[in-house]
Amino acid sequence: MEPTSQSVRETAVQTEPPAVAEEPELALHPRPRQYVLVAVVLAIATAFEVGLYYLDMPHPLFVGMLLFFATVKFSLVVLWFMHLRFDSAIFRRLFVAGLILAITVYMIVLVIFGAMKAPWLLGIAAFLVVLPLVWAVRTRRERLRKRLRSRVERVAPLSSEHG
Amino acid sequence: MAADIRAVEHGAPTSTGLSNSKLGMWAFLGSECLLFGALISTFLLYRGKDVTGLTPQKVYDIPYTSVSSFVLLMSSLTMVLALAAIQRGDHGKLRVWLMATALLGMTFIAGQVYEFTVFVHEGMTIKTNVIASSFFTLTGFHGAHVTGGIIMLLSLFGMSLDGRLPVEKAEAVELVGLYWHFVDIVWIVIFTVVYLIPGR
Repeated sequence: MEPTSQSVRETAVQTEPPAVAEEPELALHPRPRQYVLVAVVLAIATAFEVGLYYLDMPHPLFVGMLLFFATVKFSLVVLWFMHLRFDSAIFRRLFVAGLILAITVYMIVLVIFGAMKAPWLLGIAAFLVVLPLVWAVRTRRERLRKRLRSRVERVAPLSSEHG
Repeated sequence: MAADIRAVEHGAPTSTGLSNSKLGMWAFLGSECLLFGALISTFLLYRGKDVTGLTPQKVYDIPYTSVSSFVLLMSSLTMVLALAAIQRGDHGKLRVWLMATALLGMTFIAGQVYEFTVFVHEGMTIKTNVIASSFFTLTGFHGAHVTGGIIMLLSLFGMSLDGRLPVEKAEAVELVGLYWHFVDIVWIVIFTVVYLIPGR
């Protein structure tokens, strides 16, 4: 049975912090301990970045590793601290759209003006095309699975009544 | 479901079932990606140019900037703890974390002002060459954003002291938090792409 708005609200008031009664989706947000854990990972990643700066290594490897650590830090802040992992998909789409648009446009500008080699652009462009595609396929698959599950749940009580 | 409940209970149903302010903030942050993208790529475009005078790469103090970056990164933690505090209805902790975030932000800005002063004393000003111009414009714009964030944090702190920030208005803290974290992620990119990669 679908819970009523009143029952959801009452449960939220009894078990969660006060603001959850206003916004029940806040119950999905991480706890302070998890935030501290994320901050520790961020600090370690920064320490690695600075450490890499003083290590003698080939430039492409140095750049690749720095970009990797920056991406990890960026994703952790956006997904955990900004709650994009837990909030509505609409927020995610809005931000990711802006981000992909910015990366695409400025990569093209950098290649046109000779500040970046074309193969780099192709690699990043392929990544930017593949990523949303994988995401779209996964979302579609999840939606289909949910629909199937709800159909099974609807049919199950009927079959037990007839049985 | 949850969004529907909130929309109905607040008496302001929206077509998305989501808060308009939060939606607006995310759209704004998406557009800010384009602003900072333009500034960062301008710096990258000019970085390799043959110019006269000092360039940022020659005057960078990486250990100093690393500490500044760490300070800003940790301010994101205190910001999210402030949000968790107001969601719990703990106004004392909210004020502590808001003030801590503002102080960390001020430390970052003070560090940036000191860094700029050192650069100018060493002979690199915004007029020295195009690389210096794009560097000062990019980091200056970021600094202005941080300053805006500090003003918002102090306003929230004042509102909380006045008792004008009840649990029902937790979204105000969340919106300022989103802005603050965005400023932090922009610095994550700047620190890597503008300081560390060209600095070596």
